Amino acid sequence: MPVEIERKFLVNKNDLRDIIKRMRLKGTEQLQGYLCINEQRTIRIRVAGEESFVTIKGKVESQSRKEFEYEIPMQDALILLHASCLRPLIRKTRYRIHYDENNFWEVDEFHDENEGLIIAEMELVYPTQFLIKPYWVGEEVTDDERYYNARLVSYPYKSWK
Amino acid sequence: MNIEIERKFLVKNNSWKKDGITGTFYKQGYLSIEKKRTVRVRMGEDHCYLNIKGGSDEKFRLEFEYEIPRKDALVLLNTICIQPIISKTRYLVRHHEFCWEVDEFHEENEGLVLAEAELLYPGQYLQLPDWIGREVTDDFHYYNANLVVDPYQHWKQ
Repeated sequence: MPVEIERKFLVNKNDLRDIIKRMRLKGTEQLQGYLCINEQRTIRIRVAGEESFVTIKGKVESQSRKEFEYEIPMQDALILLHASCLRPLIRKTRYRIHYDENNFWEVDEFHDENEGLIIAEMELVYPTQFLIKPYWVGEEVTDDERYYNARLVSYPYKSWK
Repeated sequence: MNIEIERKFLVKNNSWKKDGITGTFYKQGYLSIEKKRTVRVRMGEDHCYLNIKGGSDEKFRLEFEYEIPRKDALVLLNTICIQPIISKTRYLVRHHEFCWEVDEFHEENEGLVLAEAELLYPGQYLQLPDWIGREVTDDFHYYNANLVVDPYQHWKQ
């Protein structure tokens, strides 16, 4: 059974712009929405570039949670996003930067209601795994619920100030 | 994507259950029971599905269904779905051109039998078999998702 363990960090906008320019990074546009958000489970519909997925996540238990993901037709995903998902939808650009040979930082630059927020995520194999932070990776927000993607629907970043 | 149009009825007697008829056992659970976004996990004898229904009313809904591995379905049903899980035996009964799905519920919903027919378009003529009772298409008590939060055995007669 798949279990997800990840750590999340904030990234400064100027650092990201600089990295994108120097590395000529190309991001992938992502649009995601939720059919269900509560403590017990979330159900997410996500369009990422050419692919679309439905993802079911269980309860958060010490940095990890059960996760099931299935690819679905793009047409289904778009209908679900626009007809059934909770508002607002989350739109972001995702950049991938190698951490080592097999692992990537996933850096999400949020748009619309969450413009200004940039989060870098690293998926771990086990919870206490050692992680070397590069200079552009800032404050850790793994346990801060405000930064959960599902929370950004009901309480978007722009409304925090 | 499917647009689903169905009518649902109570069953008056057992005359639909001819000798030799065999049913299929299903377990199903819900990840979301909101009307606009109902998400169901169903485990049958051969296949398991994730089913998403969106849209506004019970007669006319968007429906999406995806096959999922049995091992996923088991974990989803046992640890992530809203409890209790619904179990039922489904029988297919042909009457004229319609194939009725007759569901006999078990456990918390033991005693409940529902028959459903799927229409091709709203308002299509449906010849009712004589074992069909009251129509409950719009009665939310009989929505499968409601049978999780308010099982049949708890209803006051």
